[in-house]
Amino acid sequence: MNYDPRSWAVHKDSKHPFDAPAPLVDNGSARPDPSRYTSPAFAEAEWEKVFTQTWLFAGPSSDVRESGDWMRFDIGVESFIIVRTDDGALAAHYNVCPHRGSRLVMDDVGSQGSFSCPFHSWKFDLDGSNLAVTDPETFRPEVLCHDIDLSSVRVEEEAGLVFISMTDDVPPLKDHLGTILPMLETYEIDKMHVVQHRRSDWAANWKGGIDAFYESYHLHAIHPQTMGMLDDRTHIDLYENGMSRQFVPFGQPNSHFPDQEGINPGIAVMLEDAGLDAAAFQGTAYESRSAIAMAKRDRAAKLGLDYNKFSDAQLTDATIFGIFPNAQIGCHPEAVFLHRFKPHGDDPNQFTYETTIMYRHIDVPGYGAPLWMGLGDDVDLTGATRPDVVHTGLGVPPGMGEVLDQDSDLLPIVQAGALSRGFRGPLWGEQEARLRHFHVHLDKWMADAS
Amino acid sequence: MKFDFNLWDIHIGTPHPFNDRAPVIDNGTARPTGARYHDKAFAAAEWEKVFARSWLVACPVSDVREPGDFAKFDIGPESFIIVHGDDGQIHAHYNVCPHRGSQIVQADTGSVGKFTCPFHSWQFSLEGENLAVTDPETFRPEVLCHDHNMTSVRCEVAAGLVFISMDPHIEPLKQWLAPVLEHLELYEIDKMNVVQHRQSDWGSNWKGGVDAFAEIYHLHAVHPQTQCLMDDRTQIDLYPGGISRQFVPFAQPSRRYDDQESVNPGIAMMLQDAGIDPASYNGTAHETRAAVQQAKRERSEKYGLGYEKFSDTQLSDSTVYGLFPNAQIGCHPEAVFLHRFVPHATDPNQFTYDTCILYRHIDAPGYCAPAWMGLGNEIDLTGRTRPDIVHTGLGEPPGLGEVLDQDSDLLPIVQAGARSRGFRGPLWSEQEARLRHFHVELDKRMAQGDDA
Repeated sequence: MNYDPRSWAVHKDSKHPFDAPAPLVDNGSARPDPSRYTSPAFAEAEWEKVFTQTWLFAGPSSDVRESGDWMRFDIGVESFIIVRTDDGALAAHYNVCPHRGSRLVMDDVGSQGSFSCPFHSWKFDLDGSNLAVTDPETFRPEVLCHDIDLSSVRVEEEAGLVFISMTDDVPPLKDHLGTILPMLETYEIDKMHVVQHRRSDWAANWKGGIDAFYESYHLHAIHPQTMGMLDDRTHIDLYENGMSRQFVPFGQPNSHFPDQEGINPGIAVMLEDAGLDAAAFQGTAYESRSAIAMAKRDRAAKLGLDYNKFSDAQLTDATIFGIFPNAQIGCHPEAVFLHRFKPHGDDPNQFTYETTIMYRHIDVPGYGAPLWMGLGDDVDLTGATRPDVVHTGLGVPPGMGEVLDQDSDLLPIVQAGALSRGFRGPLWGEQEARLRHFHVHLDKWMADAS
Repeated sequence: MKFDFNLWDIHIGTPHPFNDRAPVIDNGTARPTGARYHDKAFAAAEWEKVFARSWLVACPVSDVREPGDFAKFDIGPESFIIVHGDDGQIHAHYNVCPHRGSQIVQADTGSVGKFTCPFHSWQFSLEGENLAVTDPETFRPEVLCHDHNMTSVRCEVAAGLVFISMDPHIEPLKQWLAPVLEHLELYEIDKMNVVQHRQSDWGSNWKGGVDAFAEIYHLHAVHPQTQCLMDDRTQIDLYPGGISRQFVPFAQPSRRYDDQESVNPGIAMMLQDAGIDPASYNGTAHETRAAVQQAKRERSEKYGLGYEKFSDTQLSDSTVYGLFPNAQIGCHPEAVFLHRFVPHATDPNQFTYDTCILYRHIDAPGYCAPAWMGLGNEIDLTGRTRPDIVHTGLGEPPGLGEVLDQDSDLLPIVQAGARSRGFRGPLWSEQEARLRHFHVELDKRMAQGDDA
């Protein structure tokens, strides 16, 4: 394998501008101290200097399409309500009653005209202003002179994704996302809806989650069953603000897979999924990727879908975007995977992995969500019903499919090692360039005195 | 509803000095920060400045009636043994062996002739004096010159309750309790027995528990099923030392309840409980409270229960006392509810809710514990058997009955919000005057220097 991953021929002879590599970023070769994964003081500083100071991906726009629609977004010790107000704008409030602090909503999503606190039934408008104090005559006027509205935070949406910031003093979300925003926009996530939503508590630091999902170097060891059809020769791009991109070629065997020629069962599934007859396919396994791209283009032309905006790689591969600090989006023309790695409120050795599949429903035969997403037959793909969030606790098998369950088994083992005084800090290869980029950016925030 | 509670008269029936209002105390209108509910440094200071320097309700006298009877009392990082000594006095010791620190008793209650440490079998008298060091000849004499008795703490009894204090210089219990001592003594809690005792760990600061139990403003929202039979028009009295009182009228619908006339099932239960047949009862729901008071008086006269000392309000209502820092007692002539909000040893986001029902057994027809206390048929009301403490852990349904289970569901939700940077501190109404009174006293104690 070549030292410079940008020389890997992921895009072969692609001239498509989407595939163009980003300018080189040199993040050095340092070995950071492992306390970042375990120290409560580091976690506390991270919360104050990073999470409370930047844009955080809160949820998809599809969950708050109509006025009165709201979604709850929990992270660390905080909980927020993001709601579409009567004027069509979004508002975001701390999920906290100003009276005694009670949470206002406990459901994940909902739709209503106002919020009512479960403790003493104070009422608030969608925009957070106080509508009713129960028994106001039993309050001394000076008490109600303290602000009695909900506390609100910044909220903006781009590319079908809603972000909040606990600090008012942040640049516009557009600027924060920067270079990757127009790339995300090609997927029209605003026209997708949630078809699966899972949340699972894992015994690892949230950055252990980021690290694992930001590289495909571990595929051969942890997910050997993917080696027949998922290549670890990837294309990595590093962007401003800690953002990154990676193409993970699908429909093409892994560099460590001995048979690069034969049509293995994984490749056959990929071919069938694109509408090709695997039994009749004449090419090698290594050629199936371009066959899939071509088949998808043909299908799009028949269905009247505009796939010209997509490069071939976008049609076949997982095109993955890392959004600083804690989100990752795996993009496909038909659907996107939203991953979030949410720090625990108190314990740096725990995080919540949250994964949402968003699908764009097109009502024509032969079009569906990619098979390998593993959506059950019971899933309503039309978007008519928003599925409930399925939550699994610490140590409970998350039931997210073989690959993610393997990750959930492994991450606590990595965390346990990171806790050791014998661990001298991570050593990152260039296949792990996105990890280093993320950590270097994190360190920049941590060094900031403000 | 009136902003000034002095304009509110909830009492019906014959005027009685027990019902007299306490002089007004003005606790202001400030909004404290939310840090008190979750900050570790605040919790640590609270332990040193408040818990280590207050009188704490340790157990009812009924648990230590005879010499040798002991009760274990756990709070924060500490555990105490309350014991009735051979000298007839009630003593309290740290539940700690002077040898290596092991806890000496693990049972909640028991009866022993002496204490034996489970680790190396050192023995102590009920008064805490060392009776035997195992293999004393293997200790250098200079080692055993160090005090090797148990460490004792202040322990005093009032109104049928045993209090302890870790502060050797604290004022006498009865001096601190003076403003409400005579009130509490009326209930003769010393003649009652524990008929139910539960402990439940909740995901909330202990003050979240105090707050929720010190106001009835939340009844309409959290316990709507009580609105038909419990009124939230109330009388609140504040006393020096962070002590407070509140009357919660029973057998009378809340003003928020639509139907003030019909005898609803809750009202019917109250009538039945007082010995009145709801089917033949002619009054309205709103008139039930007076009928209950009257019926209880008649029962007292018939069986010599001695209710002359009680006001009418005391017969029908819950008369609730808040004892700083962490106890609340709901008083009824037949029984009292003892609630304690026990801080967690290390985590300000947890506490243990300890609730104990004490009942006075009188063998008279129709006399029993109030039905709404929800005591099961299997319970021995005679007091001959002391029920075990039932403990439920964090997140488990406590099984304390509908109302308390609703509170246990809600408190972690309040705590979660109180931890938020979006919470700017509580806003207390005059319906929550007891909360403010409690927090103002807490702040007074917290402001004291470490040398105080």
